[in-house]
Amino acid sequence: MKKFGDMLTSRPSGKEAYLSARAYILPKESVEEIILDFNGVRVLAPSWGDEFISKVMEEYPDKVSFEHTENPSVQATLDILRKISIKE
Amino acid sequence: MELDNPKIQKAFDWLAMENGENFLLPDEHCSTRDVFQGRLARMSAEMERDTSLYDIYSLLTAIIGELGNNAFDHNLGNWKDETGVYFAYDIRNRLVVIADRGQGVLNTLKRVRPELSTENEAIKLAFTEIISGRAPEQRGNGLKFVEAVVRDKGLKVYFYSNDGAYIVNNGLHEGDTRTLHGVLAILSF
Repeated sequence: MKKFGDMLTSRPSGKEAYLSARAYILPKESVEEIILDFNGVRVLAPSWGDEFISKVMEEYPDKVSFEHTENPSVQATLDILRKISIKE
Repeated sequence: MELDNPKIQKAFDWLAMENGENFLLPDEHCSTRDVFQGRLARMSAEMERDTSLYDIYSLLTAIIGELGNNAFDHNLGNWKDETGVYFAYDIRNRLVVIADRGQGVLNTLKRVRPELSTENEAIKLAFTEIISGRAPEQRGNGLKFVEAVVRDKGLKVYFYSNDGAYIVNNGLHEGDTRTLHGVLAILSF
C-alpha cells in the first residue's frame, strides 16, 4: 500500500489509486487471496479506504486480508469500514 | 481549552463576515484540495517529530484529513464566496482549526433527508449515522470515524455549522450557538 503513498487521506486519491490498481496490479483472473500490506503507511483515513479498500473487498469477496496493521489510523479505519460493511 | 486562542478567533471572525473574500492570509488559506493536502502532510510530520504525540499523530492527521476533505467534497462549486478552507494549528497548545464558507451540514444532508429542519439535527445525524449528502455515492463515514476516535482517545471536537453547535468528546453535547456562515471544527488534543 505504501506504493500509493505513506499518507492515504482523500477520496479523489483513493479513487485514483483504485483505478490504477485495477488496471495494472489487481489480478484479472480469480485468485486465492489478495493481501493489502500497510507496512510503511503513516496515515490512513476512511475516505481513502472507502474508495480503495471497500472496492477491492467488493470485487474479491472473502479473499482480502491485511498485513502490518499496527498503525493506529490503519486499525481505526479498518474498524469503521468493517462496521459499514456489516451495516450494508 | 480557551476558545479565545487567536487561531480560533480568526476562524470565528472569518465565518461571521458577510463576505469572506480577501480576509485570510496565504499561509492559512487552502484554496484547493491539493494545497490542503500538502499542509496536512506538513502538520503530520511536525506532530510525528513531537515524541509526546507519536502514538496519536496518525489519528489526529486522519481526523483533520476527514474534516478538511469533507469541505471540498461537499462544497466544490458551491462556496458562499471565498473558496477552500482556513487551516491553522498550534501543536504547543494542542489544537487544530479548520473552517469553510460552504453550505453547512443541514443544506448538505437536506437533499437526502428532507425532514431535517435544524443544523443541530443535521450535525447529530452526521456524527451518528452512515449517511451521505452525495447519494448514491458510498460516502458518509468520515464524521462517524471522527466521533469514534475522539471518544476512544479522550479528545474533544468543537463543531459549528451555521447556527448549530455540538461538542464531541464522550458522546455528543449541544454547544453554544453562534451566527456563522459555514462550518468550523476545532480539534483539541
